[in-house]
Amino acid sequence: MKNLRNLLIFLVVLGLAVAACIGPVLLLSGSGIPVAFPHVQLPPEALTERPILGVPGFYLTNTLLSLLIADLVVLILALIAGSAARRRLKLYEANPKAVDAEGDDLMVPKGWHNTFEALIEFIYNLANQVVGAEWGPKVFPIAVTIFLVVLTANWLHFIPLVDSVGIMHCAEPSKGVVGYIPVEIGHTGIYRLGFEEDNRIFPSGQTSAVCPEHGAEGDTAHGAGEGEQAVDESGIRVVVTPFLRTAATDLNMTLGLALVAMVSVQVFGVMKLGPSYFFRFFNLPALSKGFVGVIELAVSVLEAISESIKVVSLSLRLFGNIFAGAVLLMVISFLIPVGAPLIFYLLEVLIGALQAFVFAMLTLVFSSVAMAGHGDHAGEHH
Amino acid sequence: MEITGEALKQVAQLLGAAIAIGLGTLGPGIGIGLLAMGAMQSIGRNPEAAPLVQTNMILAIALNEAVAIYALVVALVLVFVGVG
Repeated sequence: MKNLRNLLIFLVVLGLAVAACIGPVLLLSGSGIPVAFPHVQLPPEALTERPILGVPGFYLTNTLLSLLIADLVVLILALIAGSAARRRLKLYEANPKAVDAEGDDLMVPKGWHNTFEALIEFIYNLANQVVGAEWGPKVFPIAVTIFLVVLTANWLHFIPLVDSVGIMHCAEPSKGVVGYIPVEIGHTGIYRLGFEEDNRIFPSGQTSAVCPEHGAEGDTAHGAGEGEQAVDESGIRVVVTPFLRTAATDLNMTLGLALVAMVSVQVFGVMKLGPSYFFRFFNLPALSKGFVGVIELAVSVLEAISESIKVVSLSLRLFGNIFAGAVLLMVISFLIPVGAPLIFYLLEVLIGALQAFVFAMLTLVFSSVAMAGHGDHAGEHH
Repeated sequence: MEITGEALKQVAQLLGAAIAIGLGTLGPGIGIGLLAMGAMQSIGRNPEAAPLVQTNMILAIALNEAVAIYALVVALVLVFVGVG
């Protein structure tokens, strides 16, 4: 009977997968809703008209919103795991010999508590292994926070509606943006992007309901190059700005995270070695060794440059991986809408997790290098 | 016929992006291959050390791939932001 049940479950899941791939094509082909290919741009798109919090130039961008949601998700998941752990601990302290409903000892974690503890313990063991048992618990919080936040921010991309649903607004042809003509779905008053080539719903002289301030002749393209037919004169072009966009596709976010990580590395160095940590970058004590000391001084200045480059490297690694992944997903969805995006979604899941792990691991490694002191301690190993 | 002005800018952008990503992934490709070769050899020699070797290999591959990502970022900036 178990085999029959498993076979049934497998067939149901397979049927759902096939229906998800083919269903939209069959059901929606009449309405002509294709896969959208929104405008790709490097800087994040602002969701508000005016700067928020009174700071000039600080807009609520879609990546900021996505990062806040990722933070909230991590907080909630951690609180759930923590409260489950505390409940179990209270039961255990009341009666150490008790067993729970499944007959296991109370010290055995279950459910979400178990999963979260596995994630945290993975980074905790890594921290102890890289930094050493004495300083591991001190370096561990920043590493695990970076890991969890980046992991959640990357994996948030796979929830439906993220990075696809958004505000439709007028494209700006002067910036070389090729928009699409808005098409009304039936008589609902809901508009979608029209990708059909022969879509000429705004002949010259008429204005659009979606972009009332742009006249039909007002959008002749200058940015697409003379003689090219990228934007024609009769269309009022619109693009979609997603409400949520993967947080790590924003260079601001990755740069901020890298700065926080490298500053905390310096802090750990000072915590362990005291102010003499800064002799790592300006090796004055080496001058006492004579002429060779001058070369060591120069080398230590190079070390300072290398440390600042690590900020660039950390931020660009995460940004490049995730932004390229997002663009890849968009392009593949446009080329082969049925089936192929699944493979690339799996790739992006792997890349997202790997980049989160690499960021945390590099923070740990840099902390361990900083706490080891400058070159005089040969044979220091972790 | 000459290519001037706006068209020249576009040609330069796209060509620059293609060359950047094309040449930029040569080095990291070879580097990652060398890393994996070393890891495979050491796992073959000492299968018990496989988890240790694997963790360090993944870390080193991610660092190596970052160099290819720098080239990719240059290409992306050329295509999506472009020259002034």
